[in-house]
Amino acid sequence: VSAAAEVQRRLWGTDPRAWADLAEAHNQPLFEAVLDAARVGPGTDLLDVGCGSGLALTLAARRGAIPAGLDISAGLLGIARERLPDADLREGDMELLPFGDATFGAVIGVNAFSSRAMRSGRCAKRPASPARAAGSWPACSRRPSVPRARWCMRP
Amino acid sequence: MSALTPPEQASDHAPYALSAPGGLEAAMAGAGLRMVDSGEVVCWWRYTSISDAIRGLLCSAGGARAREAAGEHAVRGVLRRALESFRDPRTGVVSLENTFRWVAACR
Repeated sequence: VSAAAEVQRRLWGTDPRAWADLAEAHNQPLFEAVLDAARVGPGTDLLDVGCGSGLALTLAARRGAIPAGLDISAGLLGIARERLPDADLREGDMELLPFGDATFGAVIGVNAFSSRAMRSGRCAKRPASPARAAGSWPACSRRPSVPRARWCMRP
Repeated sequence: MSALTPPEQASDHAPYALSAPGGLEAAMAGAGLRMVDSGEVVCWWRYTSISDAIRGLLCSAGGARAREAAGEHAVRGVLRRALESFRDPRTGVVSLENTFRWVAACR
Protein backbone atom coordinates (compact mmCIF):
# COMPACT_ATOMS: atom_id res chain seq x y z
CA VAL A 1 0.00 0.00 0.00
CA SER A 2 1.03 3.61 -0.41
CA ALA A 3 2.71 5.59 2.34
CA ALA A 4 -0.38 7.79 2.59
CA ALA A 5 -2.54 4.73 3.14
CA GLU A 6 -0.22 3.43 5.84
CA VAL A 7 -0.65 6.71 7.68
CA GLN A 8 -4.42 6.47 7.42
CA ARG A 9 -4.35 2.83 8.55
CA ARG A 10 -2.46 3.84 11.68
CA LEU A 11 -4.57 6.91 12.44
CA TRP A 12 -7.92 5.23 11.94
CA GLY A 13 -7.02 2.08 13.81
CA THR A 14 -6.84 3.42 17.34
CA ASP A 15 -10.43 3.03 18.52
CA PRO A 16 -12.76 1.86 15.74
CA ARG A 17 -15.55 0.88 18.12
CA ALA A 18 -15.68 4.40 19.54
CA TRP A 19 -15.89 5.77 16.01
CA ALA A 20 -18.82 3.52 15.22
CA ASP A 21 -20.59 4.12 18.53
CA LEU A 22 -19.89 7.79 19.23
CA ALA A 23 -18.99 9.54 16.00
CA GLU A 24 -20.14 7.98 12.76
CA ALA A 25 -23.88 8.35 13.28
CA HIS A 26 -23.56 12.11 13.62
CA ASN A 27 -22.94 12.23 9.89
CA GLN A 28 -26.07 10.33 8.90
CA PRO A 29 -27.72 13.42 7.30
CA LEU A 30 -24.61 13.78 5.19
CA PHE A 31 -24.66 10.12 4.18
CA GLU A 32 -28.29 10.40 3.13
CA ALA A 33 -27.60 13.52 1.09
CA VAL A 34 -24.68 11.85 -0.67
CA LEU A 35 -26.74 8.74 -1.41
CA ASP A 36 -29.50 10.96 -2.79
CA ALA A 37 -26.99 12.84 -4.93
CA ALA A 38 -25.63 9.57 -6.30
CA ARG A 39 -29.21 8.42 -6.91
CA VAL A 40 -28.69 5.27 -4.92
CA GLY A 41 -31.77 3.10 -4.91
CA PRO A 42 -32.96 -0.44 -5.53
CA GLY A 43 -30.40 -2.39 -7.51
CA THR A 44 -27.69 0.27 -7.53
CA ASP A 45 -24.28 -1.37 -7.42
CA LEU A 46 -22.49 1.02 -5.12
CA LEU A 47 -18.89 1.38 -4.03
CA ASP A 48 -18.05 3.41 -0.94
CA VAL A 49 -14.38 4.36 -1.05
CA GLY A 50 -13.22 4.72 2.51
CA CYS A 51 -16.33 3.05 3.88
CA GLY A 52 -15.10 2.99 7.47
CA SER A 53 -17.43 1.13 9.78
CA GLY A 54 -20.08 1.00 7.08
CA LEU A 55 -22.98 3.21 8.09
CA ALA A 56 -23.34 4.82 4.64
CA LEU A 57 -23.38 1.37 3.05
CA THR A 58 -25.91 0.16 5.61
CA LEU A 59 -28.19 3.05 4.67
CA ALA A 60 -27.65 2.23 1.00
CA ALA A 61 -28.55 -1.40 1.60
CA ARG A 62 -31.80 -0.29 3.23
CA ARG A 63 -32.57 1.48 -0.04
CA GLY A 64 -32.10 -1.78 -1.90
CA ALA A 65 -28.62 -1.05 -3.23
CA ILE A 66 -25.89 -3.67 -3.62
CA PRO A 67 -23.13 -2.39 -1.32
CA ALA A 68 -19.39 -2.76 -1.71
CA GLY A 69 -16.71 -0.99 0.24
CA LEU A 70 -13.03 -0.41 0.60
CA ASP A 71 -11.16 0.80 3.65
CA ILE A 72 -7.60 0.74 4.88
CA SER A 73 -8.53 0.19 8.53
CA ALA A 74 -9.04 -3.45 9.46
CA GLY A 75 -10.75 -2.41 12.68
CA LEU A 76 -13.33 -0.21 11.00
CA LEU A 77 -13.85 -2.77 8.27
CA GLY A 78 -14.50 -5.45 10.87
CA ILE A 79 -17.42 -3.45 12.19
CA ALA A 80 -18.69 -2.89 8.65
CA ARG A 81 -18.59 -6.66 8.11
CA GLU A 82 -20.65 -7.20 11.24
CA ARG A 83 -23.25 -4.82 9.86
CA LEU A 84 -23.15 -6.07 6.26
CA PRO A 85 -22.07 -9.71 6.28
CA ASP A 86 -23.03 -10.26 2.64
CA ALA A 87 -21.37 -7.17 1.20
CA ASP A 88 -18.13 -7.13 -0.77
CA LEU A 89 -15.93 -5.29 1.73
CA ARG A 90 -12.22 -5.20 1.13
CA GLU A 91 -9.25 -3.93 3.04
CA GLY A 92 -7.02 -1.90 0.82
CA ASP A 93 -5.60 1.34 -0.51
CA MET A 94 -7.88 3.69 -2.43
CA GLU A 95 -4.96 4.53 -4.68
CA LEU A 96 -4.81 0.89 -5.77
CA LEU A 97 -8.45 -0.06 -6.08
CA PRO A 98 -8.89 -3.84 -6.01
CA PHE A 99 -11.89 -3.80 -8.32
CA GLY A 100 -11.98 -4.34 -12.03
CA ASP A 101 -12.88 -1.72 -14.58
CA ALA A 102 -16.56 -1.30 -15.36
CA THR A 103 -17.79 -2.58 -12.02
CA PHE A 104 -19.94 0.03 -10.32
CA GLY A 105 -22.87 2.19 -11.22
CA ALA A 106 -22.22 4.67 -8.42
CA VAL A 107 -19.25 5.56 -6.27
CA ILE A 108 -19.25 7.61 -3.12
CA GLY A 109 -16.56 8.82 -0.78
CA VAL A 110 -17.50 10.63 2.40
CA ASN A 111 -14.67 12.57 4.01
CA ALA A 112 -12.35 9.99 2.50
CA PHE A 113 -10.36 11.91 -0.05
CA SER A 114 -7.53 14.34 0.37
CA SER A 115 -5.21 15.80 -2.18
CA ARG A 116 -2.83 12.87 -2.07
CA ALA A 117 -5.51 10.25 -1.90
CA MET A 118 -7.45 11.29 -4.98
CA ARG A 119 -5.72 8.83 -7.23
CA SER A 120 -7.64 5.71 -7.97
CA GLY A 121 -8.13 3.08 -10.55
CA ARG A 122 -10.90 2.47 -13.00
CA CYS A 123 -13.76 0.15 -12.31
CA ALA A 124 -16.50 1.63 -14.40
CA LYS A 125 -18.93 -0.15 -16.61
CA ARG A 126 -21.12 0.86 -19.47
CA PRO A 127 -24.24 2.45 -18.14
CA ALA A 128 -27.74 1.21 -18.36
CA SER A 129 -28.53 4.66 -17.02
CA PRO A 130 -26.40 7.68 -16.17
CA ALA A 131 -24.28 6.98 -13.15
CA ARG A 132 -22.98 9.36 -10.58
CA ALA A 133 -20.21 9.81 -8.17
CA ALA A 134 -20.71 11.83 -5.05
CA GLY A 135 -18.46 12.84 -2.25
CA SER A 136 -18.25 15.24 0.59
CA TRP A 137 -15.76 17.19 2.62
CA PRO A 138 -15.91 19.49 5.61
CA ALA A 139 -16.96 22.94 4.48
CA CYS A 140 -14.06 24.85 5.92
CA SER A 141 -10.65 24.53 4.37
CA ARG A 142 -7.08 25.44 4.99
CA ARG A 143 -5.13 24.31 1.97
CA PRO A 144 -5.60 23.77 -1.75
CA SER A 145 -5.53 20.42 -3.41
CA VAL A 146 -4.18 18.93 -6.60
CA PRO A 147 -6.23 15.82 -7.15
CA ARG A 148 -6.16 13.63 -10.20
CA ALA A 149 -8.75 11.03 -9.51
CA ARG A 150 -10.23 8.41 -11.70
CA TRP A 151 -13.53 7.18 -10.38
CA CYS A 152 -14.67 3.63 -10.69
CA MET A 153 -18.07 4.27 -12.13
CA ARG A 154 -19.89 3.93 -15.38
CA PRO A 155 -18.86 6.45 -18.00
CA MET B 1 -6.29 19.26 17.56
CA SER B 2 -4.67 20.43 14.34
CA ALA B 3 -2.67 22.98 16.28
CA LEU B 4 -1.01 20.18 18.24
CA THR B 5 0.43 18.59 15.12
CA PRO B 6 3.89 19.70 14.00
CA PRO B 7 3.76 21.56 10.66
CA GLU B 8 6.00 19.00 8.99
CA GLN B 9 3.41 16.31 9.68
CA ALA B 10 0.40 18.37 8.65
CA SER B 11 0.26 16.94 5.15
CA ASP B 12 0.03 13.36 6.45
CA HIS B 13 -3.64 13.82 7.12
CA ALA B 14 -5.45 16.66 5.39
CA PRO B 15 -9.20 16.40 5.95
CA TYR B 16 -9.77 19.94 4.70
CA ALA B 17 -7.64 19.59 1.60
CA LEU B 18 -10.61 19.80 -0.76
CA SER B 19 -12.83 22.14 1.21
CA ALA B 20 -11.81 25.54 -0.16
CA PRO B 21 -14.26 27.21 -2.55
CA GLY B 22 -13.74 25.53 -5.91
CA GLY B 23 -11.73 22.69 -4.43
CA LEU B 24 -14.34 20.02 -4.95
CA GLU B 25 -15.12 21.27 -8.42
CA ALA B 26 -11.44 21.23 -9.35
CA ALA B 27 -11.12 17.71 -7.98
CA MET B 28 -13.97 16.50 -10.12
CA ALA B 29 -12.72 18.28 -13.22
CA GLY B 30 -9.23 16.92 -12.62
CA ALA B 31 -10.66 13.43 -12.50
CA GLY B 32 -12.40 13.94 -15.83
CA LEU B 33 -15.84 14.13 -14.26
CA ARG B 34 -18.67 16.48 -15.12
CA MET B 35 -20.28 18.24 -12.19
CA VAL B 36 -24.03 17.82 -12.02
CA ASP B 37 -25.02 18.91 -8.54
CA SER B 38 -23.73 20.21 -5.24
CA GLY B 39 -24.98 21.22 -1.85
CA GLU B 40 -24.34 21.59 1.85
CA VAL B 41 -25.53 19.54 4.80
CA VAL B 42 -25.47 20.48 8.47
CA CYS B 43 -24.66 17.68 10.87
CA TRP B 44 -25.03 18.19 14.58
CA TRP B 45 -22.53 16.22 16.61
CA ARG B 46 -24.14 15.80 20.01
CA TYR B 47 -22.50 14.06 22.95
CA THR B 48 -24.05 13.40 26.31
CA SER B 49 -20.99 14.65 28.16
CA ILE B 50 -17.59 16.23 27.73
CA SER B 51 -16.04 12.82 28.27
CA ASP B 52 -18.02 11.25 25.45
CA ALA B 53 -17.19 14.17 23.20
CA ILE B 54 -13.51 13.79 23.89
CA ARG B 55 -13.61 10.07 23.20
CA GLY B 56 -15.62 10.66 20.04
CA LEU B 57 -13.10 13.18 18.75
CA LEU B 58 -10.01 11.28 19.84
CA CYS B 59 -11.02 8.19 17.86
CA SER B 60 -10.89 10.09 14.58
CA ALA B 61 -7.75 10.24 12.49
CA GLY B 62 -7.27 13.85 13.53
CA GLY B 63 -7.51 12.89 17.17
CA ALA B 64 -5.08 10.03 16.75
CA ARG B 65 -2.58 12.25 15.00
CA ALA B 66 -2.77 14.92 17.69
CA ARG B 67 -2.33 12.26 20.35
CA GLU B 68 0.73 10.89 18.60
CA ALA B 69 2.23 14.35 18.41
CA ALA B 70 1.38 15.83 21.79
CA GLY B 71 0.34 12.95 24.00
CA GLU B 72 -3.13 11.99 25.15
CA HIS B 73 -3.06 14.11 28.29
CA ALA B 74 -2.33 17.28 26.33
CA VAL B 75 -5.00 16.55 23.72
CA ARG B 76 -7.60 15.83 26.35
CA GLY B 77 -6.77 19.09 28.07
CA VAL B 78 -7.08 21.09 24.88
CA LEU B 79 -10.35 19.43 23.96
CA ARG B 80 -11.84 19.84 27.41
CA ARG B 81 -11.18 23.58 27.33
CA ALA B 82 -12.35 23.96 23.73
CA LEU B 83 -15.52 21.96 24.23
CA GLU B 84 -16.62 23.76 27.36
CA SER B 85 -18.14 26.60 25.35
CA PHE B 86 -20.25 24.10 23.42
CA ARG B 87 -21.61 22.41 26.55
CA ASP B 88 -25.10 23.09 27.80
CA PRO B 89 -24.57 23.89 31.49
CA ARG B 90 -28.03 22.58 32.34
CA THR B 91 -27.80 19.16 30.68
CA GLY B 92 -24.09 18.72 30.11
CA VAL B 93 -24.75 17.90 26.47
CA VAL B 94 -22.05 19.01 24.04
CA SER B 95 -23.29 20.14 20.60
CA LEU B 96 -21.09 20.87 17.62
CA GLU B 97 -22.59 22.17 14.39
CA ASN B 98 -20.66 21.00 11.34
CA THR B 99 -21.40 21.92 7.76
CA PHE B 100 -20.32 19.60 4.98
CA ARG B 101 -20.23 20.29 1.28
CA TRP B 102 -20.98 17.59 -1.25
CA VAL B 103 -20.73 17.36 -4.99
CA ALA B 104 -22.06 14.90 -7.55
CA ALA B 105 -20.56 14.27 -10.95
CA CYS B 106 -20.88 12.00 -13.95
CA ARG B 107 -18.32 10.50 -16.28
